[in-house]
Amino acid sequence: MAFYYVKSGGTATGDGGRYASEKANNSWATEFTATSEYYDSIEDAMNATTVYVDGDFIFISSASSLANGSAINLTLGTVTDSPVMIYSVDDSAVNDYLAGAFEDTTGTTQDYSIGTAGLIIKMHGVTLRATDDFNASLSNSGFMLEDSTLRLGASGSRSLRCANDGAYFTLNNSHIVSDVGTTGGLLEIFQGGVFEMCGGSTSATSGSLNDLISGGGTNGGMTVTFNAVDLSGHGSGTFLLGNVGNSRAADDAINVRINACKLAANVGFVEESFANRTHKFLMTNSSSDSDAAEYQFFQRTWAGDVEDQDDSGIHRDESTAFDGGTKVSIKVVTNADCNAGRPLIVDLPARFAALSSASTDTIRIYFAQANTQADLTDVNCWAEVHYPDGTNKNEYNRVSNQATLLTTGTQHTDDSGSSTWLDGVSALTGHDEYRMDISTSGDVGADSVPIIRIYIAEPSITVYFDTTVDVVA
Amino acid sequence: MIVSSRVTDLSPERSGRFRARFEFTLSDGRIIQSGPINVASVEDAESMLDSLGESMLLSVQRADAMQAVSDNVQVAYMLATLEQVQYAWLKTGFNEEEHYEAYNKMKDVGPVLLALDLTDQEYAELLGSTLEDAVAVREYWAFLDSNSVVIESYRGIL
Repeated sequence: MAFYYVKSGGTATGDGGRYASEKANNSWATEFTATSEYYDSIEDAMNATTVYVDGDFIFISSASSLANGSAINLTLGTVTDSPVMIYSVDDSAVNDYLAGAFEDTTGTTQDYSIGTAGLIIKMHGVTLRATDDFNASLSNSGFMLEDSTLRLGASGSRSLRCANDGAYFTLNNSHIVSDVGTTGGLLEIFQGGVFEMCGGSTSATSGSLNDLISGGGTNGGMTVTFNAVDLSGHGSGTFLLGNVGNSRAADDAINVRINACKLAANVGFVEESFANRTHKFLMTNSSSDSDAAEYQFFQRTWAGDVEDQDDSGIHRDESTAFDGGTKVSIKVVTNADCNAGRPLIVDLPARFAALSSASTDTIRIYFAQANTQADLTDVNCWAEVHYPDGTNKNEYNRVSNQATLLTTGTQHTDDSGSSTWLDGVSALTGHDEYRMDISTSGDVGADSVPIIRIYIAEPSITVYFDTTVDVVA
Repeated sequence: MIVSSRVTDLSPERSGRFRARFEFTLSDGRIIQSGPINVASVEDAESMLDSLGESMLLSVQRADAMQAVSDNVQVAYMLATLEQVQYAWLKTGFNEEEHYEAYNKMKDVGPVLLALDLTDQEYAELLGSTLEDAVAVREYWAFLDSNSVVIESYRGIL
């Protein structure tokens, strides 16, 4: 185990800033009597004569403030199995963690990058600033940031880039801050790149943020996840996912998942329609509005959209309200390309659908649609229920009410005599009101919350599903 | 190239705002839908039609340009302009991991564009790209072009 000490102004070369054991926990000034005893930058520490190995640490002073003057390119002679561990440490007690270290490329359009394939960098408490992009652009390389900040010092497009096989960023309790706003979007993830952010925020100290994700998705696609991130800096005229999706020729897998994030009221969700089965954008519990956060839902696939509709609009009055008192339906809008080969598929965000091992259950789903649209039958609208087997709970049973393939099908049961659908506070008119039952009688399940998957195979229609699913005897 | 546009849906929300959906009919008959976007009012939704339409058209043109690459076309295609198609070829080459494949994608279009002898900013405006992308693509083509003899010799052993 060795320790590499870093503070801007250091002049150490070779192994001058490398120590076989940890320094005593005194101030930097006490422990280091000459600048030649520590490195100027993380980059310098990683270029030490004795190359960092697993178990080593790089400690960077919380008072470090590097103005590099050129691009920063982190490389390592031999890639380690585990990430290179970098901690910001207290300038007053060099073994104690304290966020605050700062490295800036400075200069004009200079990148902060990983320069070795497979190299994984894990930083704690460090603020990095680049006057151009942050790049994880070599295969299977990645930045893992904890309690850290990435600052964008130039208005370049798509300033965080994953651009090679399996390259990635993971940010935990960290922030992305643009000092100048962005012109073309914040993230560009492609070639199988992965971006994951949990906690923290995106924001601009000057100017405004453009799209959250712009472009990317080509040459292997992208996987992007945001959990509990404040994204409210992306406002009017911007999209959470822009400039990608409508080209089957170019856009490969798109897998974007946003959950529990704060949004601006007028941000667009997805700019383009999707062109392939592998394109999916799913956002849940993310809102500009406190009350709406508990039920917010939006999904886009190549067959259309699914979104929440609160009780200002069309909903079923018998629905069980969410904790905040709002009754919610799920609004399914299919596009012109939706059909049996390209059905809209959504896992219904259903409530209170617990199955019991004590008996067989029948799941009842309620839905409504304008009566000017094609009738809904078990050919163009059906459900699948997946639930754990009552005996072998690691095996899931599947039941469906889909009509036998290539048959004409049967129209779903009229439920207008039993349910009361409303449009706001007024009785809903001009709509057919249906229900459909799916029984588990063929194979009893365990106590469980089942997966209820809805299929719509009819183009250009809108259907409202109640989020309350009854389990009837 | 957008012949008509309209707001197709305004779903009310408890917040008092609306979720708006939009529809654009293109000159070749295609209908493009956009939204939902959260708006404050009907007027707010109507006022977004022009700016949204512009970005939607650009998206369609970019997709058409990528389709041109897929269909091995190097001229204006569907609603994509010649320059957009040329940029799609360059960008596709730029995104290739193998220099040989990248060179093959860029070798027809690269020299034509460089012969225009424009500034990076002018290239960006011509191609409808960001300045950063234009610079990156041009620099990569210059690298490939300077190594064309080696790359072409590789073709001989394939």
